Amino acid sequence: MEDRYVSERLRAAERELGVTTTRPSIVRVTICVFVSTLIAVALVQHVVEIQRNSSGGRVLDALPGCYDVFQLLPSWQELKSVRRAGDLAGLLPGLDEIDVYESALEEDSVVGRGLLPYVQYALTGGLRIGNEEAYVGRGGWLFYRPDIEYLTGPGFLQPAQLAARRHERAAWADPPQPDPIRAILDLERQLMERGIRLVVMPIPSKAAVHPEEFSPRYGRTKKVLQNPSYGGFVATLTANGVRVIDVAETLLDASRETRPPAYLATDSHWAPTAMRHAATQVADEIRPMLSADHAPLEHRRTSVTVVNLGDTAGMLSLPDGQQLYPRERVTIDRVLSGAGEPWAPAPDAEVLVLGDSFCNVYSHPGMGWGSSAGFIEQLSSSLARPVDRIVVNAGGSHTARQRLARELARDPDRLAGTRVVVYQFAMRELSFGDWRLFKMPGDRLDRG
Amino acid sequence: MVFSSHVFVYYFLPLTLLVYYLLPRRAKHLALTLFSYVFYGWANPLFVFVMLASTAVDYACGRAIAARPGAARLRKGAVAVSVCTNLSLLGFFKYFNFGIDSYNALVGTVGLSAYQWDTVFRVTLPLGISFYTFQSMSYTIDVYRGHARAIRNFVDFACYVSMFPQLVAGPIIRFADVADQLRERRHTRVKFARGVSFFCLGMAKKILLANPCGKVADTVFDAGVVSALDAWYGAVAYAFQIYFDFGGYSDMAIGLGLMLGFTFPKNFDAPYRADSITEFWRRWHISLSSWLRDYLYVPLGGNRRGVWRTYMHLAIVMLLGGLWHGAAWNFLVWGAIHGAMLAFERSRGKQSVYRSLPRPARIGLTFLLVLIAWVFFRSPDLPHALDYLRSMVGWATPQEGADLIAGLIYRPAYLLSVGAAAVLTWSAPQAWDWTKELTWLKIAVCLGLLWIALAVMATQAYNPFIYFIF
Repeated sequence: MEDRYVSERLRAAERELGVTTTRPSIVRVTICVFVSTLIAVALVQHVVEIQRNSSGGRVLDALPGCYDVFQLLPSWQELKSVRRAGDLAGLLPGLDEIDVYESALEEDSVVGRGLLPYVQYALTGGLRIGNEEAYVGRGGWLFYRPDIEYLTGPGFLQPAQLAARRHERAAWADPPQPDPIRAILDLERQLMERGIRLVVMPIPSKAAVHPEEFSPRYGRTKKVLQNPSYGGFVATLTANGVRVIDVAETLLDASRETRPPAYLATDSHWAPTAMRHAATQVADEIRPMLSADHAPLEHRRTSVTVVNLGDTAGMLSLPDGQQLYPRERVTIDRVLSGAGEPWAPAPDAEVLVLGDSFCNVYSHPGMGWGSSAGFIEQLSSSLARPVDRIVVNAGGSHTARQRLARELARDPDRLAGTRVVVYQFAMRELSFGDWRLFKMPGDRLDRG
Repeated sequence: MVFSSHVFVYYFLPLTLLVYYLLPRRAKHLALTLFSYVFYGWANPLFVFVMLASTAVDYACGRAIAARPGAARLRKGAVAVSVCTNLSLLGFFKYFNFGIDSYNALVGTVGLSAYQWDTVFRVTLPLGISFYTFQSMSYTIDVYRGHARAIRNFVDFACYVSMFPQLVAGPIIRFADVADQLRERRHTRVKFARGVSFFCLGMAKKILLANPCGKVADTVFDAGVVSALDAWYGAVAYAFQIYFDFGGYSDMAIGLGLMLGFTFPKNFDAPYRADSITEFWRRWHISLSSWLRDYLYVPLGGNRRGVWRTYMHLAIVMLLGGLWHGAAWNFLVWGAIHGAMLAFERSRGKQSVYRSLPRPARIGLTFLLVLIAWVFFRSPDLPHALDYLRSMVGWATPQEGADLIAGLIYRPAYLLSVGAAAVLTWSAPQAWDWTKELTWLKIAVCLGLLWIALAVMATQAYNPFIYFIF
């Protein structure tokens, strides 16, 4: 029966695939090489990991990480305790566990880690292709992908875009809160209840100020590029009493004509000179909001040269010692106290800055660009006043606010004496950030 | 788990092949079934039960149909149970969210927002449900029609439904086409080597062609309003992306099938060389178009009930075909466009309106029509598709950041990929023909491409196949 109704397509396939003209030696070599390719990675992994892990003594401890897959399965005891179908479903491995296992398998792969830098070097150096995080620009520049997509993508406040972002998440994660206006107005309201003024300071994307370093369709720009929703974003915040300090034009002015660029070539952050100009602008704008009777704080400055590999270059995972994107050299202005000590935040200051890595660069030594010379230090020096800070790398959309909420939960007087909160974040967060709401309580942390 | 992933290539596949070939014939199908369920459950373990339920229902229905050949009502009832179960699963998992969103949009539009259904409940789409439900349904329908004998062994049936090479993105395999192969098939080294060559070429198509073309397409389609040149370039890149992504996957599926002793029919036959939309559908996703023809178009009446009914049947089939691809209005529009074009060509004796032109021009115009329809297929929603088309004809003003994408998509590497895709699409022999004779040079090319693809794969994050979302 089946033979009559085997489709003509299958008959054709059997005719086409049924006869392969080749030689036995070719067949043997093909199979050997293919199978060897498949098993080589796992074989090398076994050898390396067993050698590395075998010093512990227990045989099971020496097994490579690929055998961790068995830990995803329920134990015999757990299976015996199953009474209903729902119990069984609860014993199945979670998607996050599978994802962690698969990611670990890739990241720990000896062959993969060995090959990756050289393959990436060939792709970047030969084909000028970056990777999922870093785009190759012109003239040795690199760009962080979200910075580009913030400018090329649809308006971040468009209803369709907000709706799409709400559904954009890993299956095991909570959906993001994509609306920045909602989060900022909520923060403004809670600060105003404490008599504190909110000032918002978005930092433009590198490509917004230097598009000519990415696309040949731009000359040296006279106007900072923006996402289509940015104008509406600023207008809405302003109409609701939130001061927005736009440093974009300042950064553009700082890099005009023969002046050095406003951003580092292979890093996603701003250059020291442009950052100082931005700090001066912010200081000028918030000074009228502060108390008049304040003795100027004395600061000293000292110039230091720092050499470092840009963070975007680091994202490419190129081989050590590569010269495609050499380390950059910058001169930073370290801000010291009158006594010559590195600048330190003052918890009782009238100004509190909530910031991200744009505040940490040149400030936190962990970023590799020196210390005591960041935006907040420059701001403090321009104001001649102490400044307080809560700064967390990445997640400018919510992490710094979250930390403030937690600190308030521990210490209700955390904001005593504060008159102005400067909320700094990268503009790309407007398109991609998770703008969760947080209650600023006296004694507990609630998530909005 | 996807074919182009570290865990599949270096762990799952070699382990599966090893166990498969070590086991005796009687145990091979059980092993293949278990590995297939692991493969499927890797994406979401809970959905294994959905597939198992569909499999169990269709197996039981097939047995019921076969058990009482004379009981017409019972047989019809069993088919109805099978079709309803599978369509219900498909309907719920695939179209629940679409239904709610469309209902809410409709009542909101007519000013009845109070009647909107406010729910945070969102249904997650099980991987490949569109494929295995269709495949499984075809079994009971074929048994009912007498085109296939009901299978006794549940493991063999489960193996047929869940077989990992074609489980999550096709080709849709008719039971009649594999029934004999499930009973007996030959495993030869030549077959295995042929399978290796298909797998290598498929992997190369996916990693080295589809992914770079996809990067261009994603950059342009995900941007706001772009220039006309960029819009056309993005659309062409998408046309190549979907072809080499899906075609590459099909090649890998056919290759894996050969390694396991199975022969699967061809799923793509150089579709962009078609010189009419009618011919395009004889060459593109052949397993789906033939499924729709045999299980939907023909039962509706096909071309046997007059001219206008024929056009209506074509339109219904293509509308449902569009909806099969995705639960969104833009997929319906895509299906409607193809349905309209098919009906129009049918009115002209299955010939295109430009049939008098030279063949290269006919091929070019057919590609152009398909390309425009792809805009609806790729866009996230209908408004975006319309905006994109406006960009293509230069009726839209690009946003101020739009020219940034030129810094990426016109890189020599991407231009080379799109160019290579074009050359392979219209000039190169197909994998089926090229691998008929395996020489040292061809094997070196295949294995070399595989190594390059695997090396590049190591630099890429998760890169699923487009058709995984259906």
